[in-house]
Amino acid sequence: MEKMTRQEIIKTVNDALIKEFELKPEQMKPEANFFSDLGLDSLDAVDMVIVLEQAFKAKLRANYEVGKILTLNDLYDYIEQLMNNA
Amino acid sequence: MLDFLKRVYAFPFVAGTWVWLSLSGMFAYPYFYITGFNPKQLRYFLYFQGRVLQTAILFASAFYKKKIKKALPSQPSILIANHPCTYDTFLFFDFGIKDLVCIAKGWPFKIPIYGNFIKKAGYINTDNATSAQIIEQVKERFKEGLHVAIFPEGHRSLTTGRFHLLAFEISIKTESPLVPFVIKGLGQMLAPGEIFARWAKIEYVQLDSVDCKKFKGMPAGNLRMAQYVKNEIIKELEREN
Repeated sequence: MEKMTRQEIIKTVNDALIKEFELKPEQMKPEANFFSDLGLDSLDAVDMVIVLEQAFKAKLRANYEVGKILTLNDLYDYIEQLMNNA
Repeated sequence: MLDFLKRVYAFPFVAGTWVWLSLSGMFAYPYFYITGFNPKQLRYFLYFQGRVLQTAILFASAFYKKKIKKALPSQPSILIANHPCTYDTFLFFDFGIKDLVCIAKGWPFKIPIYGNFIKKAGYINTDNATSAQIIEQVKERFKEGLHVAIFPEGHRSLTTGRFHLLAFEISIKTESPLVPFVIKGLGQMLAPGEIFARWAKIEYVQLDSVDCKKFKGMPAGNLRMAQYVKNEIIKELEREN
């Protein structure tokens, strides 16, 4: 996985999710919960991983723990951690 | 006035299906409980329930119910359809497909009796699961010779909405054919959010199966496959009955 700064990670994640799920940029707050704030459901969560893998050109799902990644900030942290461990 | 008459006509058949689904489940439950919820028997019971429901729809449409059926691929496949009505989950039974499980969000698994039946029959719950975990479960079902059905829109919608990628990702990752079905008229019979049904012409169309190999290896192949299949479904929906 290619190294990125946190700002680049946030931009890549937000751009991918806004495009795929037709979200508004103002909804993309770090504390936004995928289910209660962004209105996603379990099928969307599956799509999210597929879309992010395409955006980052990397496998995310081997260690992806659905129950632990609830907010955008959790997701940024998870991807940053993956990059640091790569 | 015409709409009222359409509703009066369809009411007993559609109300009867709810009674049938509830009572048949309640009466069958003790048998399945005693015999340990055999998955194959449960799938056949759900098939039987679905065939009766499809007969009720035939009457509710006053026999304006048409079906275009083609041969299914010889290997277990992914079956998908648009999702205008709550009865769509019983669509595939009308095509005589008995060996089938569905992929669904968590809420149907919480329905008393029915939820337990589908869980024990091997239906796959997407809640709290990654695509990798779901694909592993699908592979297990394929080994048992079962087709796997999914409604890519994820919820009922009269206009064809965004397609989730899961069905297409599964098809590409498992190299299995994907067979699209188109449901016409059920959304007019019982629209999302409505309680009382009305008479409507019904048509079920099985489209040609889609070979995932055309999309495998392409950048964003699952997205392209989803767009292609959605367009095929929309074209069929726009075609005159």
